[in-house]
Amino acid sequence: MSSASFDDAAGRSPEAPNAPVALSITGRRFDWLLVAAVACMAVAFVRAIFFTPIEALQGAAQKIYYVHVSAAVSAYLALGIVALMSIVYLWLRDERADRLAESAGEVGLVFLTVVLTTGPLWGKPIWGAWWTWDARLTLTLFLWFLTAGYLVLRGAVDDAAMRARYSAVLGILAALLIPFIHLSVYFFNTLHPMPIVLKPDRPSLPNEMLVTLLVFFGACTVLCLALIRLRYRYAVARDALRGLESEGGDR
Amino acid sequence: MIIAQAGAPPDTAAYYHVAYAWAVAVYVGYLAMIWSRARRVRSRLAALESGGARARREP
Repeated sequence: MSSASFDDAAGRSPEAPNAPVALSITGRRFDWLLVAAVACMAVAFVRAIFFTPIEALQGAAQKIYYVHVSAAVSAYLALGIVALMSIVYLWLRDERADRLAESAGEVGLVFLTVVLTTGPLWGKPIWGAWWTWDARLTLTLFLWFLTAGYLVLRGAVDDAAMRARYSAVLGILAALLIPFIHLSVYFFNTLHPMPIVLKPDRPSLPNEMLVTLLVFFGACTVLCLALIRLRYRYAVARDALRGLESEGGDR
Repeated sequence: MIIAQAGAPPDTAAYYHVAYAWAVAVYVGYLAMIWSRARRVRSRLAALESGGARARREP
């Protein structure tokens, strides 16, 4: 793999994306992955709304579960990519890894926002409260703040190499919270339901509901990857623009 | 808290409708945000690139 590292104070590199390449990448009209993601999400929503039974004790609010859990898994995936690409950046100093980590971090924040807002919409009718300072909820809110902090940090540091290094460390530390969030329901006495699919035993969901959840898992994963790719393309174009603007300023 | 009537599931559909509409709004809103940022950058990039190409052609 050829390396493309930040090597001067302005953070430009000899292999920074050039304008024609960036234009050709961002200018593609048909994004097959995005079209697939939209189609998969449409199928998932239609299945959940029209072809999944209503749970007897919770009523229709139980269907929030499909959106909530699949968004949580996608957030974990995106933040896992942040951590992985941060490690790759710290190892190889490849700016593409930094760009991918940045893109995945922003997409992860979007999915975490869906998790943290759909959760209370389920909690109000079922628990009788929008929010409780339960271990899993609090840790997820903390992860949201860490991810938002990661993006704020990226916007606050001008030097590209320093920005990439600092945010890589924060990205790795934020992802370390994910296993704690998943296992918090075992460690603490929490109000949040225990895992009913991602657990060592068999999933304890009726088949129709399990299929809907798996369809949502798949659709959200494709959407997550499509959004990361789209955001990465934007980052390539933005960096090419910064390169051109700083070249103009140097002259 | 909504208490289940005998035999019938409780009516919690409003929360589910709001949650689904909200999730779709967040995803579509974010998609639109990336698109608009990319379009803005792309148009500035194209303008700079065409200016640079013109400058390279003119001695």
